[in-house]
Amino acid sequence: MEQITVEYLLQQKSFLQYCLQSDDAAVRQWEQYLQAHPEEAAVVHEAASIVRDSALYMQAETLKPAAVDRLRQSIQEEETVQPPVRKMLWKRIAVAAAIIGIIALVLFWMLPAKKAQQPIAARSKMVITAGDSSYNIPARKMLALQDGSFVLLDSGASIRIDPAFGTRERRVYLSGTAWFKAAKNSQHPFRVITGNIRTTALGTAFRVDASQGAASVQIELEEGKVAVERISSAGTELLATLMPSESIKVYQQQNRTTQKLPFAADRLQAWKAQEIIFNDAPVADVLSQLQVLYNQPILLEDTLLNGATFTGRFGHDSLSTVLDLLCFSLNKKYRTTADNKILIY
Amino acid sequence: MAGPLLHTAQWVSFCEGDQTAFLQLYEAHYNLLFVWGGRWVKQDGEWIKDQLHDFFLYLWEHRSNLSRDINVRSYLLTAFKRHLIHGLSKNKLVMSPAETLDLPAQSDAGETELFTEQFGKVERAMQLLSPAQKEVVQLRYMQNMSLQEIANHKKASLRTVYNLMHRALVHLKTELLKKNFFYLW
Repeated sequence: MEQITVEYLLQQKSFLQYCLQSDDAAVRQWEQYLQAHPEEAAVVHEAASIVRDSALYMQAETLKPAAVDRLRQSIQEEETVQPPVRKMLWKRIAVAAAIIGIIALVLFWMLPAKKAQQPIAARSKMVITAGDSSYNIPARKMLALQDGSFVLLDSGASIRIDPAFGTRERRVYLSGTAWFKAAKNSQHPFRVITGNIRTTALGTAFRVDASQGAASVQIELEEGKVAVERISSAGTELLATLMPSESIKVYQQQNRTTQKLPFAADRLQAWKAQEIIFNDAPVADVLSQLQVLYNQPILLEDTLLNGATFTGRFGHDSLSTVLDLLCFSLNKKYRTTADNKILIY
Repeated sequence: MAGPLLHTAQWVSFCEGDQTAFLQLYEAHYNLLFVWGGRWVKQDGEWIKDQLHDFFLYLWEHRSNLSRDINVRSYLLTAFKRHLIHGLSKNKLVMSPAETLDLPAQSDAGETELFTEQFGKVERAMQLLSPAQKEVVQLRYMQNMSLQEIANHKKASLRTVYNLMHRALVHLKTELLKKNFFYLW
């Protein structure tokens, strides 16, 4: 057979389809051809790289304007989110983590689609830190993400929302301890990543990785279902699938085995309620946080009150104590309805 | 290729925190790095797009640690390749390891030279096309549409589409034939 040329190849429709992987039959045809004619590999590769480069070039040109805008927004936001702090903070956390390890509490509910919460976070790339006294924010921080998910960050914990949050998946990076309640959205898996361990909520999707030099990550599941995986150069290894009330401690090192254990739900509830701070928070926000923290639907009869604000600080308090104080300051009362909801009237 | 000296000046401004210079660098190298990324990963363009964004954000955050006396283009090519490979092997986590920045640029010099040359050819060929011609080529070959389908899509006559395509192919052939490549489109 005559030697083929780049010129010849570029005229074959099936060759273009092979390069762009747009037709399975064409792909098979040219793969077989390459196997039968290894001596033509150089020419085929040269032609293929021209086709692929051109295709990518045109794609790049289409994507460029939006990409430049996105980068501009990201770096401008970065400016407002304390850029120098970031590096120091991560270093410090890495040191602390090396000593004490990281415990990540990862919880996940199938939350019915909620009305849009006020988006506190998750515009694009940003760092939200809790418990660093130098920024004068409370030891703990409750965040509502734009997709309706909630994150309760323990003091000293830090979370980074991926710039592409919500486009294909909802990915966050965690250092320290946090509790998550992921809004249901099967199209965009919710993942928490910490080091090379990742936790993926199944159904609504959620991933957690824990690393930053930490030896281990602990994950406790309250409701729903999550998958815990270890990522390495060899691929992804499924460590465990957790069911409600199970916890697992996983190690960053490959050779350590992991073990599932039950955990006490009341201890977790105590942890969640150990410190709750509202500082001139709109009542609507206060109620949505209490609903999440105590897993209890709360209704407000007088919707005009949603705009009012509330300031208060609770530690290890029962829901009734919190409601007593809230209702006192709003000059309202509350009762449990027939269908087990709490109504503030 | 528009002067490397120009980019060096922009690079230095960027290291000093100039956002405009930084975005200009991004824009100027976007296509180059995007196509280059396609050489190293099988993932689709969306993935490369996200990686490129992350890579530049990383550069921005670490601008004060970057060396100023470099060949901007080779540096970006080599560093982005490392970024991709690292991202693939370790699923790229919160912070890139410092070695992404400390890489010796000369080690991959041959490879990046060759690529830059080939990319130049593709770029010159593409720049000969008007936006309308480019769109037609894209629909025809990237999306496998027939000329009639393109005409319907663009609400144009078949004749118009045919002319656009014909002129586009003439341009591309002319440019690529110079380098002994006959180009189909």
